[in-house]
Amino acid sequence: MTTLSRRTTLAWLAAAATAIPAVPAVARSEGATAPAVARSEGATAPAGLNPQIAWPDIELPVNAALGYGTDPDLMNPIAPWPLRLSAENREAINILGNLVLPPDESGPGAGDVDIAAFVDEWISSPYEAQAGDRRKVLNGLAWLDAQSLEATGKPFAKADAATHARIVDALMLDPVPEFLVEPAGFFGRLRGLIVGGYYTLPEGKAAIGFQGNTPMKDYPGPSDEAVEHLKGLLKHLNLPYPA
Amino acid sequence: MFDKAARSTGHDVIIVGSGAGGSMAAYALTRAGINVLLLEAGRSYDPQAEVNMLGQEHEAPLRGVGTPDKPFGYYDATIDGGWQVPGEPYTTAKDEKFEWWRSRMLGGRTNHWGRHVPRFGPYDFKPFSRDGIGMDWPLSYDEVAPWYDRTEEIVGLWGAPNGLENHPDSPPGIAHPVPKPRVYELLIKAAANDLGVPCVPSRYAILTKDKPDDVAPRNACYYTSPCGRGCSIGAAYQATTSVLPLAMATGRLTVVTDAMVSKVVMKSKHKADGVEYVDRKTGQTYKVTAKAVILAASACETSRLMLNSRNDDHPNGLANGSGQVGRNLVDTVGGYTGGIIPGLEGRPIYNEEGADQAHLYIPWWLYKEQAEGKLNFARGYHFEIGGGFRLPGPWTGGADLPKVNGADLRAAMKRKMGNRVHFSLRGEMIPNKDCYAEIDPNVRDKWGIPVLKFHWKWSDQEINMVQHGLDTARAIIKRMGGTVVNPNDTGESNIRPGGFIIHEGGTARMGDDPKTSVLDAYNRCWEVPNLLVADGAMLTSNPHKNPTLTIMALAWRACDKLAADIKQGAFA
Repeated sequence: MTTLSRRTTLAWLAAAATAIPAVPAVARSEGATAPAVARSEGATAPAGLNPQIAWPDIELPVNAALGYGTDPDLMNPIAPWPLRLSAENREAINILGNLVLPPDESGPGAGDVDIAAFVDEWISSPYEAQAGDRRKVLNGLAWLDAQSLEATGKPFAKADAATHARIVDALMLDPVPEFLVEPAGFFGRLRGLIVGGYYTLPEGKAAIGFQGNTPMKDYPGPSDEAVEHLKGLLKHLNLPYPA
Repeated sequence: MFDKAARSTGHDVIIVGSGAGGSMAAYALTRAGINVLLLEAGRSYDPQAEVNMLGQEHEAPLRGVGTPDKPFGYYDATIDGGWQVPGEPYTTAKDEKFEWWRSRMLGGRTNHWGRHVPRFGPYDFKPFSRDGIGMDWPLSYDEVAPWYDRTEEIVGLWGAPNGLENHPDSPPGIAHPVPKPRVYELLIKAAANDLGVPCVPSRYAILTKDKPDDVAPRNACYYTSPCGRGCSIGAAYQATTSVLPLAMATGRLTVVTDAMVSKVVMKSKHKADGVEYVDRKTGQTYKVTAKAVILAASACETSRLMLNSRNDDHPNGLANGSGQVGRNLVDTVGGYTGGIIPGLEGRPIYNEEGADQAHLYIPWWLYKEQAEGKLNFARGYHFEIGGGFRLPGPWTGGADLPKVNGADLRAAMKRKMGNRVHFSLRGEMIPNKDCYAEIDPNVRDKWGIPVLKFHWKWSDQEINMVQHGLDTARAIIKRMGGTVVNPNDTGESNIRPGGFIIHEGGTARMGDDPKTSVLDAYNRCWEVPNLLVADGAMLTSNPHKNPTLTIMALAWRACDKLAADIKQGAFA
């Protein structure tokens, strides 16, 4: 199913090359779907980004009939729906994954554990709840490619690290210039998916230090260290340790 | 194991529905020597083979989050169920909202329920006598207490002798020890107590000691896995690891699954003959007969059956001379307040899973103030509290996703992991004339059975209660040095839609008077004594104390009487 996103991406790129949309991106973002991103009135565009490249607005349908149904095999879970992202899309997401959560001594980077596989499963979901994220991510990837092509002649996944960093820095601006409102909304949501996808992986659980999912005979309660911390907090709040 | 396709008529009692009430009825009757045919609309289900106890988020589609196919998440026990069931619609009155949860599986909702099992107290059985609203039960706490005792023995629970007003404790020797409280629970307790609000050990139908049995041995909780998945080790109570295998072992229980009962068939005006059901797999209709019929299909499904079974003798629905079938529909009042507690950030990480449910909770405490007329709502609520080290999931955003990347983001996510607390309000709804279910004359389900149409309006009682709960939870959060995540909510905006808490009840209530109630004190229809109701429909009132334990206890009590009557030749 990767042809769909490639086809829509190409169609949009062709359109963007010849015309500036009649309706500015900001006007189209009014209403309930407007991302919660602070806007910066009248700010100049960050270097290397073209404010004339508008938000693509690709829509894809919801089809809950492609879901796993009301009685899936819980012992052998599978996501049965077709995936939407191209190999290049996934490469781009893994690059972004490693910029959001780079490898360090606590664990591998989000891109290193192929966070794009999760993002692809999520945005390809046939259910209504993920449709908004699908729209954000597909449009966001197309927008990234358009910016990257304009600046470097290469799609985002093939561009150099400096281009990646420059675009990500722009999308992290707070507040953002008007023309980055939709792209920043996309990136904020993608960061949520990267973070949530990463920390629910065994590597992510280890990296954050999570302890659990371990059968035990008796529940020991808080560790001594945790109790000491609580005592300090209670003292700070002027509360007695509960009997 | 359960899927015997018996269509015979050699049974003493037919039970419709295998959830909390129906399964307990089957257990009580079969061990008293009665032959039972149990009809379940959903499929057979075996938790020992089907529950993925240790399945990880990343192994499930969408990291296991809820979807329309599995509303409580991929691993949730519920099969073929939810607020919407394909082919089984319901309707609601214009501009009104009610959500009707159905479960279509052996054991019904006991496979996924919350398992909070408070006993109703003495006040709860006599609400009208106490505040002049609603109706008294035809029973007192003292009459029900022995049935709570024996129900708790078989269900199993943890609990402590809290000694609180109108919150009866179990007699010594029944309740298992409550797991040790966690850091956030101790903090909530300290802050709540400082404000004069109690916070005490909870009562859940979860074993913390092994429960050996030749037929249905159950193990103590092993402190991991969400209980909503079902419990293949039997620690968290569900009918499919307990009373159903025990009833089967008597040799007197026949279970037919995929049997969607469409109506009660009558022998004469005051005597039920049996039921008709549709085999969901083949569409074929069957009629089965017995000396008595017990409806335990869930409150609304039971009243739907009674209304759809109307005939010339019962033109308004079966056993509905009072006009109360489908009326007095209640759910538990639901509200929510969340807090972010900076003092819990960056604290030492330990295994904070414990049992999946709250080890401490906040029971209702303002009886005196209500008796003195100081509150603008008449009945109580409690808070089920939550928190702990929770991993970020796919919906992470907003305040939980700091706007930094790299090492700063890793550090922030780790620091915030245990900073949330949750207060889920569960309150008593008082029956009102605007909340009821009737048959929709225009809509049928996929088997051609007419469906329910719901009417729903909260009264000021419930709205005021939720506002009080918001104020209380906010005060506790503030006392912990925290910030409230939903500071702009009001009682009216915060209250959950009707049906959302999945505690429907009251639609065939018990009472003293056949003119104002459907059932007598032994769950028998006043007009059809060999037709009983053993689910939430029986509830004369629905205290904030989660109803399942009471449904099970009264189902057992009713069946003990029914078995004695049958043995003495009644309904022959």
